[in-house]
Amino acid sequence: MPKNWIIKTIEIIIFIIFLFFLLVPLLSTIIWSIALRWYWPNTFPQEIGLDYWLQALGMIKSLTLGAVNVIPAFLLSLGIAIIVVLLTMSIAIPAGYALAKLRIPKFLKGLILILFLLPRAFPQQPVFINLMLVFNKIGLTGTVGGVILVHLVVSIVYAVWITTSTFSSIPPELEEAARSVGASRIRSFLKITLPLSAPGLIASAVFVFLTSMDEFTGTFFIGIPFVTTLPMTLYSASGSNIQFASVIAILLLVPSILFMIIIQKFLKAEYLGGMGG
Amino acid sequence: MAILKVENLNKNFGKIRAIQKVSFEAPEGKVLSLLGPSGCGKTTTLRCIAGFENPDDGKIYLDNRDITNIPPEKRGIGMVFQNYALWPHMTVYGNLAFGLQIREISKEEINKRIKKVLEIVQLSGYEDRFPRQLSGGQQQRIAMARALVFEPEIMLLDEPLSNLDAKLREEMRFEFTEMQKKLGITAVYVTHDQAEALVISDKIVILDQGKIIQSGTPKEIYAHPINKFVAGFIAISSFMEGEIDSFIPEEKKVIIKTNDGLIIHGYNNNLSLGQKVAVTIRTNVIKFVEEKELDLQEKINIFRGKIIQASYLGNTIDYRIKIGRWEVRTNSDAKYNFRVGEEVFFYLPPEEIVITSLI
Amino acid sequence: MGYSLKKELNLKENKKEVGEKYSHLTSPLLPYLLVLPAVMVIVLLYLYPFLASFWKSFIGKDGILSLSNYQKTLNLYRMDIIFTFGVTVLSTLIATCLSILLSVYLKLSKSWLAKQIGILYRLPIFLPYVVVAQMMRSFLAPHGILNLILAKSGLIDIENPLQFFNWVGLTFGFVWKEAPFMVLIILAGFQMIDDSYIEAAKSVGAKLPQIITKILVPMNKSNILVAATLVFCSLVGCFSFPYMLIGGKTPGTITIDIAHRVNYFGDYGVANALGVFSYLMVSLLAVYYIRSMMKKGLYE
Repeated sequence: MPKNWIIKTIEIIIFIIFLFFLLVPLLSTIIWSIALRWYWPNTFPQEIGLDYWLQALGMIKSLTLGAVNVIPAFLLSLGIAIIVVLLTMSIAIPAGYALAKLRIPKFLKGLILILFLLPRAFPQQPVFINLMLVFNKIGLTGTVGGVILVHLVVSIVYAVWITTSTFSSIPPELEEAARSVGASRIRSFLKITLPLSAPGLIASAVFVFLTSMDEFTGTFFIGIPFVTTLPMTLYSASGSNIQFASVIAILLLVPSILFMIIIQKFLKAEYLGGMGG
Repeated sequence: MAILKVENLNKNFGKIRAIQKVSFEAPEGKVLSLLGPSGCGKTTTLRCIAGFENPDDGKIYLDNRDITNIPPEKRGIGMVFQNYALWPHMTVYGNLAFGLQIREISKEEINKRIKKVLEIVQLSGYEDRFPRQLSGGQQQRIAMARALVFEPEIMLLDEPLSNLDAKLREEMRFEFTEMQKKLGITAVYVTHDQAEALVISDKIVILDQGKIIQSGTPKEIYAHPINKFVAGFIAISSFMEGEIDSFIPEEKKVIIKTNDGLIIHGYNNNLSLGQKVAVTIRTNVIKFVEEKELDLQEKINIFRGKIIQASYLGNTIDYRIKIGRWEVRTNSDAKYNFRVGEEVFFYLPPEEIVITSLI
Repeated sequence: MGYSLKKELNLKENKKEVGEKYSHLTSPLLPYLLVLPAVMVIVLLYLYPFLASFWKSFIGKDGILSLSNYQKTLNLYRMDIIFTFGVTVLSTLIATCLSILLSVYLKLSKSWLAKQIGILYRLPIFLPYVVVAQMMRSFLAPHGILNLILAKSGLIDIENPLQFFNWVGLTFGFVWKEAPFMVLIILAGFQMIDDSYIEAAKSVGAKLPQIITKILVPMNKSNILVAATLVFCSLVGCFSFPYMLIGGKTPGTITIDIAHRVNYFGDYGVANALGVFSYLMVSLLAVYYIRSMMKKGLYE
């Protein structure tokens, strides 16, 4: 079959082009993170080593131009993300439960739905500018608290969506059955609905965690220059030192990929587009 | 055991009037069926009794205790759901123990009760299975067991057998009746299946468009359906319409004349002259008469018709017969073998046809 | 029967009464109490500043209601607004075509290679734009890997590497990041289409191009439109990637201009007028997106 042979060849060519454009940008970042010297137009770095990694991780003292120790930034990002997850989920879980399971008049539900779709539909940057003006007045600009609030508003939309659809997927009869055998509303929620929706809620929490870890635009306007999260250090290293920037990029990329591989099957496709604007 | 009393229950969903002025009493230790087509309000009524819906109006009493405003978990009512609603993350044991643990019953007592209830539903030894490891029929029994294990005062069942195949459904009907009689528990049973209602119930309440149309024992309803809707719903029947032409008081008989001139004799003493009525003819009341026997028969209620369809259903034949402008169905044994188009004579025994007023 | 339960109920009589009173008070209000915090967060931290951006765009430097901000915006940033629109449209179109083709390939091919692509293509979806920006900076730089490879293979002059830190690099990065996300949505739609439709088309003599344009794409129209809409809307508002790739160069995107206006001039009026332009740019599609999500009932 000559036709078969042609199709196979075309497929292999497509595959190679696909792999090239998909993986070489990633590869170039990885190589830059270990390239100590790489002068144009050499095909490979003249000298490779982990020096920049060790400097960035604070394991050796460095005098390099634009050197950053990412550990404090990482810890700051991590701390903010954990608080944002706790805050967001404790607001989103009740809201999602009410929207999915409790009786709310249709027009109010529609109104809430529109409210939670707006941030996904319209550019957020102008909103952050005006939020910054508000925060200026109440002294939240440049504080960790301000950054947490801006991360909260970015992630709560997704968290409410995901928790709502998670709770909706659980048949109401399961909770009613619990109540008919004598469990109070709170008890049937804790013993029946909550364990059954755990996978979706955990997925939602991880999503919020990553959104906070990766958040750029809001932090740029609310946090700078005092709150330097990991994406902010990447931004400032990006202009001055490509090796440090590459190291930070990889540090940001690894958890995203790891977590998302684990949780993506619990999430609807539409949510994923919102990652790290 | 308890008596359930429902008084003037009303419930609207927006503009839809789900149930209107529904009142009935479920007798102690007996099965009461709420029967009707989908959307008739039977499930809403059941959910009001269970406490999952708040009626807009009306009262619900359990043994003279007003439970209308009591949350569902405090009503002490066992419920079997249409989709079983077994908790998928708990084993059979976990499902059964849940309600008992809430009541802070000791572990030995819980084990004892679960063992007993599993014996009743004939699933001893299934404690450690998860619901997904059970067949549909087994899930159904566990759902029953879960509603029984905490020894509720009454039991509600929402179309519990509708997800089973026909054969299993029939078996489970029988098992349910047996179990209910043995335990003597009061049960309210929602179904759209008239055959099921007739078999399992001590009392049937027929609902249509949110209102009670008729209630009574299966026998009463089967024999004296109050109107055409009930008659049609309770058995496959044919209808003819006409008006009361005259009475034969000494025999308590009425004579009906259809608008195409057929004269039908029947019994009903609540009707007045000229009233429009429906004549309900069940498939099993039509008796074929051979032409040569015509002289031997009574002269009334003999009709001449034409076979317009014949369907063979195993050892019976389903005929559709045209008389005048009416069409009647009969289910006859294969002794009579008519061809389509053939002319036949048949007799409608006056005591077996049902005359109801046409609303 | 029922005796034991009644006893248990009696034991808890006191607790029950309090609980009942409480539940009576709260049960009709409960849903609202539960959604209130989330709604408050959105209203105070999103809706208010969102509406403020319209309002503030009409307030000139002197604090008086005027169109001066819009005048200034059109004088200074007309090209940037056109540039933003052009790059966004171009990126969305390329990403849409590419993702449809890739989805068709993944739907129709059952080969080992297709399976690998089906796993790997998701990678960019999970990367934040800051990381994409950094990757593109090292990949597309004048002395970056792409130019290196092109030069080594003799396609370009090594002394004259191609410049990508402009609309080309921007479009490349946008497509790289967004096309996989579109594949995720579009492919999900394709998988819902039964193979028999394709086989039926084949049996009446349809070739691949006809199968794509007459069967697959029309049957999956709503998913494709929603995916394209989402991508268009997020690209108009994307700040980090353009800022890191072409920040400071002209022409730039609206988002870069907004940041400059705020950071260097403290000029919120013009920044907000620019913001309103970006709202206008997405408005039609945003309304379409919200309406289609409402119809779909996102909550279900």
